[in-house]
Amino acid sequence: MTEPLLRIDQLRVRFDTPEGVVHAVEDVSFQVDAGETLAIVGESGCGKSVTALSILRLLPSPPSRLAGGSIRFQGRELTTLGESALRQLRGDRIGMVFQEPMTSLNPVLTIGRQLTEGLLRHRKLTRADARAQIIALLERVQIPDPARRLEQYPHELSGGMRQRAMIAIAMACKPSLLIADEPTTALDVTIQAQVLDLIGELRDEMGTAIVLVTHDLGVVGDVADRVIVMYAGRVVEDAAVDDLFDNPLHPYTQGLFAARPHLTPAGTGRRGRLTEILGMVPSLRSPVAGCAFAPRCAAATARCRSETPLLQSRDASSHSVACHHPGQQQAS
Amino acid sequence: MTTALALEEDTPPRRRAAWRRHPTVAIGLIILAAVCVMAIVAPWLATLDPTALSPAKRLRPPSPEFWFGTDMMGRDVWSRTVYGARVSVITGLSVAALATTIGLVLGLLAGFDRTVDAVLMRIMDGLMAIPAILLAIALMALTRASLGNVIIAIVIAEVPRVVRLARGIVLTLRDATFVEAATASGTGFFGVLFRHILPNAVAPLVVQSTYIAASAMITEAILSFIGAGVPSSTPSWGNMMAEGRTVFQVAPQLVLFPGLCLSATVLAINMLGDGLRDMLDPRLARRVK
Repeated sequence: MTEPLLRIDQLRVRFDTPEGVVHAVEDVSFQVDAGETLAIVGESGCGKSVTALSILRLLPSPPSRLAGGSIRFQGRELTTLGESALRQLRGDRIGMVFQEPMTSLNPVLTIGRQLTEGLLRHRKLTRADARAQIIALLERVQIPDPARRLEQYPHELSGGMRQRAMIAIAMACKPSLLIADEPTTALDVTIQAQVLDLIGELRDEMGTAIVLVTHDLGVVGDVADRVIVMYAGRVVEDAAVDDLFDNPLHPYTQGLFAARPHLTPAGTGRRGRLTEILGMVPSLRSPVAGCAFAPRCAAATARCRSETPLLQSRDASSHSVACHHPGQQQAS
Repeated sequence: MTTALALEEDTPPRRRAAWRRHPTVAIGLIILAAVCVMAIVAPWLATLDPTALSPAKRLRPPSPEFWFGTDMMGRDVWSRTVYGARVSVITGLSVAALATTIGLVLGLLAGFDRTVDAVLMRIMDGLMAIPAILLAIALMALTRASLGNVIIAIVIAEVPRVVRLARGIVLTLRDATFVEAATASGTGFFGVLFRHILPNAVAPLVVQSTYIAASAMITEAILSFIGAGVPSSTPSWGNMMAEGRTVFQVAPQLVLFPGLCLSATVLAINMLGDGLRDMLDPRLARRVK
């Protein structure tokens, strides 16, 4: 079997805080094949961004600490890679797009300087060549009048345009992997669709694999091939996107689907509260025995409270779930 | 609606001349430039040798011969005032440059390294616990009176403020998303420092350095006034006022003219600093276009 592009095994990330150790990511394993789009979903604080950031070792340390596990990218172990070798990968083989387009660009440098930075460093191009490539790329990401934009400062661009510029920076060196940490969360809905389409098109053109961190199941359905659902620092379900949407197995995933807002036909009088998952996310300070979701789960049994369920595939399919009673609580 | 939009796009707001948008900067610059010119061309502006004694013409009121009158030793107050600008300008500029540079370097170190931060900032806190003027007096008491020593003493007193500012800027910027984004695209430590952190630190530091220049001029004048500053053989606005204060009632011009010059210069620098802050602050200036 050939090695996948990115393979994460038993990743554990801890945060040392004055109040105690936070177990932000606990035994997370997944892999991404070349050209594949993997979505990581889950609510705020479930560890999805921490997982994404730890791939490029971008978490500030201290307080963060890699407590175990392995991250292999194109056959190289990233957790032990030297700082300069890692810098070679960053922005070249692995691109990154952040959530906040308003603050991801340096306010005092022109767009042009920030866009050409990666090409100048990784490709050793001349300034003029880099500029020409960037103009072509900006045209590709549908920024009108790119030559003029290069002379402008970030505040002169709209949010959507800045996020396109960030995507252009991330894709400038044609990376094999793009990590997108909630790339559309800060954008309005029409711009979201455009930016997602753009990411999808670039993926198809360049064969880039994508790790997409999001909490928006609509986004997942639009672009992802495969989805992992995270809860309280663990992967609770890993499935192809169609399988997950057709047959969510973990009660938490079912809850997520049930909690999506739906338009009800006018006149049916069914406009009430949105469905919610009762209870609270557990504190990640003290790892609980048993399933982290058990306190909020209707199907929880004594076994759920004592024994942590492992991520296991069902019926030899690629659909795995970490639950003792998968598929029992149907979404209401 | 459409016409309004079209109008906005077609006719960008007319940009007013820079001096009209920022009149305080313009006025401050003009006064400051005048003082600098005065300092540079002092030998040609002065009507007499500022140190030449003429005991026969002591304490003369202003006249065509002695524009600002003469002091107790018959020296020409106009010529001394003109030469005095040199001390103030040199002190102001060099203290601002030195304190800002040293403070920036120390602030960067403190911002990036926790251990350095812990040690350095306690020293800075200690220095700041002593009033700047007392610290400068104490330092001058240890050394010989000279312009160089005055500058060093004031720099030591002013540096902690810059260190605090620079450290604060670094701590804020270090965690900014654009720095994270730059790191994610392979920028190393020095790339982040020179391309992302320093350019963002320039504006606040430039503003701070103007205030330091103003404060340094006043401190120098105070030091010279109490006799701990530049030696009395070199005319400075501070020691002129000190010498003139005993005869203020008969010859107020001895205190008045250097005092006016000092006030005007400091006022000009402060106006420049306030204006620059508005001009350079991206949140104020850039969005209002």
